[in-house]
Amino acid sequence: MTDKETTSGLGGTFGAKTKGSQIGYGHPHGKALFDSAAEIIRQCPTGQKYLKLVDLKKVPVHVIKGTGQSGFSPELMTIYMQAPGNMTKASGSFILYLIKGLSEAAQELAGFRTPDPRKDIMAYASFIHGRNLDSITEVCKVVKELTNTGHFQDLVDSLTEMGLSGVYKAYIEGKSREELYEKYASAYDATTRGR
Amino acid sequence: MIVDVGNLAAHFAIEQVSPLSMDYGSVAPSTENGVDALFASMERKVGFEKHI
Repeated sequence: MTDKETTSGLGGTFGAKTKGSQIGYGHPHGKALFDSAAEIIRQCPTGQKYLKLVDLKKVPVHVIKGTGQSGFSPELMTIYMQAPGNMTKASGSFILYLIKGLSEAAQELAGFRTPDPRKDIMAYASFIHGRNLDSITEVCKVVKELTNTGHFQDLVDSLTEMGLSGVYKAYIEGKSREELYEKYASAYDATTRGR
Repeated sequence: MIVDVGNLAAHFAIEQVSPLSMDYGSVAPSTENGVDALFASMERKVGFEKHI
């Protein structure tokens, strides 16, 4: 990485990185958003593990201004978080997408490398749906661990807005991965049909 | 998931491959054990660094 890439400035499409850190903030309140999310995630054991991933494995997290989708880019090994420009504190969905992105980064770092979709779209679909299922399960795990905090209801409401209340309910009931997949598949189908 | 421009067509294509159309048996197996091993190795490394 060059010094130019690690120094704050006008920034490119995704903004500049803060010098000496892997957290990039193209968003005017990017640092506050990340810090407020981390403060909540840190309150549970699984969340602490994922924050260590950012610190020890230097997984870049870029907070950018926008209303599009947040997520992990396996090509760039970077988590891109999008939030409206006037947001100053992490919302429930911001926190959930951050956990999902961190889980996907962990999977990639653990050796579960995203296959090239241009070679075999079915192998890619199999991988992506498996990855989505596992990362959403991790999101459910964090939310469950935060049950006794003041943030719990907001996170559950955000899960519902994301169409994942069925997956969460199945997770709480201790359902198998296959049963969780059925709930995930229904949620995915309903979400993509609604676009 | 965010994808680069080169994979954009594939990204849209996957939206046509609904998970409802796939048997659970054809979905990639759980990554849980591999991720747990990653975190365990991170803990060992941190522990080692604390002792040197």
